Amino acid sequence: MKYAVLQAVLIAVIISASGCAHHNDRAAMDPRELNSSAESTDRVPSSEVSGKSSENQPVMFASSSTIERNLGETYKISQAVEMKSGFNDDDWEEEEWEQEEFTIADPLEPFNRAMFQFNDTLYFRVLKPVAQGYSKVVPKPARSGISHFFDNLKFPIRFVNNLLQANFKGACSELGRFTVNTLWGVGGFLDPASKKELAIPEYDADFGQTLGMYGFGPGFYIVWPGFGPSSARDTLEIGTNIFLNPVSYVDPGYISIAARAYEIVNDTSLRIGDYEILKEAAIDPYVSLRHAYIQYREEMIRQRKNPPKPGGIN
Amino acid sequence: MKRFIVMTMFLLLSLCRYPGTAPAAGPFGPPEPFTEAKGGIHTAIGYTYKKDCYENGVERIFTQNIFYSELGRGFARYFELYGRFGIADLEVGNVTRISDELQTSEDFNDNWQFTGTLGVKGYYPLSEIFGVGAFLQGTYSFGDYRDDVRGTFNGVAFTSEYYIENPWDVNAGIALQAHVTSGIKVYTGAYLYHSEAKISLLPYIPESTLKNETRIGGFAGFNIPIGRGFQLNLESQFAKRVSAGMAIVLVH
Repeated sequence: MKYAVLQAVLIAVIISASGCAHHNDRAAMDPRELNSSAESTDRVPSSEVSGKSSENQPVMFASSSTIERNLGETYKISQAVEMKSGFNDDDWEEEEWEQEEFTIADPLEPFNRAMFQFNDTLYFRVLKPVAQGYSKVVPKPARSGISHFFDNLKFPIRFVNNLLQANFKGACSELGRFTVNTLWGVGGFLDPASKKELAIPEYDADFGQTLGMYGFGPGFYIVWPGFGPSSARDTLEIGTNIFLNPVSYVDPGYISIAARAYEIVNDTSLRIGDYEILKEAAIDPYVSLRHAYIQYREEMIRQRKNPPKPGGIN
Repeated sequence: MKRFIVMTMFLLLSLCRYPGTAPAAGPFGPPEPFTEAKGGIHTAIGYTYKKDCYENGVERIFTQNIFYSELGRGFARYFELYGRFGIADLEVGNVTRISDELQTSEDFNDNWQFTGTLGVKGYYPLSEIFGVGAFLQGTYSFGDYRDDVRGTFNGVAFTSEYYIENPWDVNAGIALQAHVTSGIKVYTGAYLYHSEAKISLLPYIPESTLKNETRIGGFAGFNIPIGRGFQLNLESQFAKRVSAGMAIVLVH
């Protein structure tokens, strides 16, 4: 029990910077939105990412919503979608899409801004220097392999939530990816499931998305110290992620905490600079993050509810 | 050239039937590396049923089931370095009679211990179809195997713990390979090997070393592409006892 509490505290402290980076990552998914959100309520066209998505639907779900989601994946999604659909800036301006607006209340804004500042400081004072030192010692291929390894370990989160969403195809696909990457990926350090010959699609899923699928709204916006941007609904995801992540069950508990901290440092080392770019681009980084967070989460849920038809518009 | 190939095949096949030898190691695989290019990677999972004869006054037959994961990397064209990590159990079926005074009534059995293998292989193509290769491979068991055995010593019953510590072996061999239809490779070869394990049954048997009974063996196998980058490797090692293994290989 004491380890669980300790772990929660440590994770809260350490991930904050990670949280900053991650959610800024989400914001960076579509920089056009960053400067358009100086309101306390965010309004985003829902179809901006998926409007012309084609048959490769799994790609659109490839990166999901856990608050620990990394920005690289987010970029991957938007790029993949754009590639598949031929979607680009010109299309954005010229085409008219059916607009669906996502909103979230922010009654805790003073608290959230304080937490945002806390996470920001933690990132620049602690996580970034550690990650920079780490990246100088460990080569990038090794860091990517370690990132794959931890991601592979999170298979139960994706598998269970795909089942809860009655997405049996997604569950089978995730099971296949886990099997291939564990057996022929040296325990998950390599990602042979993504190689051209196999190309087993990712179906990322989390508990917040599952609740959203069943009609639960996001509630209100909240920034957790260490965990970054979230919502009342998505906060439940933190607990389920700990419950379903095998790393949480490593005994003794301090090894579990150390592994989690190491994962955060490793993941951050692969994304140094992303958060800084976002901060420079945003007039108010807090608002940009909130905006990006809610549009990203709700878009994910919307796409899962209504998968884009091949070559068509939802 | 054809005469050389035929003679080599004949020699290798003869070695496979050499009486009195014992197999020692896990599969050696085809002599041609799975990844021909420098920097190429392959991974595999495999299973080996391994039998080996050890001797130290009394012949003992070691039987192991080995499950492993393999990672290999080409470090030059036609040269590959590979490592395996897995688990292996151990059964020694011939401990029932140790000496006239000391007899045990049970076989030795112990469950899974970690085992590791490192190997290197090189290949030289003689033609589009045939090629020869050589390899060097070593295997080490990280754990100590132990089992309680009951027996009699000068007619007095006892129960004691039988230790078998860190079995290891080293193998070196040559092989001839032929590409047949549809990417299938057939290969056969001969190898030299040395294996050792320390045993003890205190206080009746002080720690002593068991070594392999013979030093030479033969092997043959197939490598079959099964689609989507996967290959199936089947191999048997022939001698006084027969070992066999299979692996599913994925070339990255």
